Amino acid sequence: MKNDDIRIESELEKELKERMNGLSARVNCFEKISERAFPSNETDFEVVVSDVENVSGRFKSAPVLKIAAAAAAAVAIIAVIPRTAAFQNFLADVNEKRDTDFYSIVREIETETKTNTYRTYDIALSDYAKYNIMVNPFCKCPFRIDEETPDARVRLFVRTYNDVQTDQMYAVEYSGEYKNKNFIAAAETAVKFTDEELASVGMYDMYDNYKEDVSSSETFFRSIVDNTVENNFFTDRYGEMTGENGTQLTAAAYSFYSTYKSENEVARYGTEIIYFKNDDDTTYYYDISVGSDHEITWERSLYTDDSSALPTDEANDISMFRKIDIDEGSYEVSDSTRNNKFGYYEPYNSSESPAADDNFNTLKIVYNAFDRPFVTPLSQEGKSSLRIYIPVVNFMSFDSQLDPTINITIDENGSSFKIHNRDLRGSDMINLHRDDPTEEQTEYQDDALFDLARSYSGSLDFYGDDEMHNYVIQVDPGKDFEFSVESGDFK
Amino acid sequence: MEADIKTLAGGDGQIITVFTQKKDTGDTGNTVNQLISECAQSKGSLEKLYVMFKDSVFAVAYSITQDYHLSEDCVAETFVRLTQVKRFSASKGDGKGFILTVARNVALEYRRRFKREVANDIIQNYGDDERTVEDSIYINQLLKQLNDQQRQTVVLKCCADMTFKQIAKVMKCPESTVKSRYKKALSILKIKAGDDE
Repeated sequence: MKNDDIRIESELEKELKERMNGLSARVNCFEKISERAFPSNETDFEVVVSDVENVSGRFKSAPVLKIAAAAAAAVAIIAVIPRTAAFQNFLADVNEKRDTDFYSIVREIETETKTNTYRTYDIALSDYAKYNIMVNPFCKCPFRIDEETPDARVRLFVRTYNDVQTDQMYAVEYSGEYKNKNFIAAAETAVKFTDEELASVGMYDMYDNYKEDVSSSETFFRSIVDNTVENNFFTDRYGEMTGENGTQLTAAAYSFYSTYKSENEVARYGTEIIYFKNDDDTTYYYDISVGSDHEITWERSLYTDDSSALPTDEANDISMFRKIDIDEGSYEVSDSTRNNKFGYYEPYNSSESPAADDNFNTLKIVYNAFDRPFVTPLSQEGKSSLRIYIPVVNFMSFDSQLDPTINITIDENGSSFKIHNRDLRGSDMINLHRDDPTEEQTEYQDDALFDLARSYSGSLDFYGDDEMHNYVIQVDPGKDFEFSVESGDFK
Repeated sequence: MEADIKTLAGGDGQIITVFTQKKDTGDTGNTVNQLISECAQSKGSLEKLYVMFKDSVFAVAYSITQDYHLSEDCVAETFVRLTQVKRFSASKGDGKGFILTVARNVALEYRRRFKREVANDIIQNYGDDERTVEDSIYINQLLKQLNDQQRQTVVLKCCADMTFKQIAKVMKCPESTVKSRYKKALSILKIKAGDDE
């Protein structure tokens, strides 16, 4: 295997080198270089130095002459130049420039944002390209990454109706301050809504529920997502969430609502997106768990000279999100013999949550003495709906501290907050730190722990964040459930 | 043969480069440095540099522009700019690294200037004769699997025979990054080669 690798690599390198040498061998431009580097001294021009020039060669005019020249120039501009053919041509050129397709998009953005309601996001182009799924799960970034403009930003305009986003979007790539002369490219989606079309959507969603009933739809959606999570992820002996192969990971889901338009209908749609990242990797995997899986196309994405600004091939795709097919969760009770009971916490909807904004946040989630960087949806609504999953049997269940926490820092602004035991949600959530657990809860906790323990041939190890309070719990599989605390003061 | 480049060449302005870190230079390095120092006055020195580095400069330019004629123009511009270098230490500089840095800057500048055309495959220039077109298409097909940084890394390593350390200096990034980029790039190419088979 190793030898094969070496052979293939060296063959590739060799072939590339030979082909490249073949190309450069046919380059012969030394004469051209030589002519430019060593121009002939012979000249056809005779230089005449007039007596008004000084030694440096710069003409020094008297102040009076300057004023007179400026006045004459002003007269020429006002009275003479506009009548000349050259000036008319200049004006024609300017008008022609403003008639480009690029400017037509820019003008449409100006008109649309004045006459209709739009949500505006302003993000770094590189972030948009990397985290496109967190902006909109159905379309990619419309612009190419260009290393010559590393500070490029994108202003994204999303039309809204009744506070719900639509698929009608515009985007402008720019550098520096947001103003026309700094625009690099502009883009628009194919979807355009008339006021009548949006009014016809009314308050209905894709399941014909009234808007007032949207919470019931969300509950329904989320129950499917929860089942999907339970059918695809597991808990390891450290109380960490894992994939089927045992790799520890962080998984979450968020809701995305928008309004779409097809040949036949205009309707609102609700979507639940599951995404996860292995804790030792940077790639995110995602799937549309609930809702319509469609693609929003960028109708046009143009540079100022009307050439295409759309990313051309996979080499330009720096998205950190990869689409995969996650098995849809059945609505049945999941297999109780597998360690796949999960709860969740809502980082923007818990006791100490920061206010959700319209920027990307990278959450540094710390527990079990391990950092887990995890990116959030862009919009406030996306963040508010964000649910990060955690096994029902997790470090909090056993931590010796009275108030064990998950510590989260937002990378972009340095602010931090804690998720407490009371912030954990989910019908299966075990909470040994509840002040007054019911008998049913206590019984359930024991059952869940036993389910977890009997699947492993070894012991269960849980580590608290604080080294002073570390402890190990050992569960002897096959025997009755019992704790053996090696250190710390387990309660 | 190592040196810190304080001001990098590139753009339309005058090229001023200072090498400050003392390192031993081999005979070849000394020769290259000497030739760079002399090429502004000596057509012979310039021609020697051209013969020595034309292939590498072209490869660097091609990895960035992916256009035959644009790369040819980059070769010409790179060597013209070498003749405009005002301050270069023949005893301290990394001549090869310097030349390829100039080449890379020139190519990036040309690509920026002509990127609209380069981005369009229809008018992308593969050269004139059949063999050139064939080689161009092969290289483009191969390299298009890679992103910009990976492409440059592979070409600098394979076609310009540079070490990871030298590439790191030219591309202004850590040596470990260059190594990982190169490894990643080869794994992508290997997969592509497997697919083609």
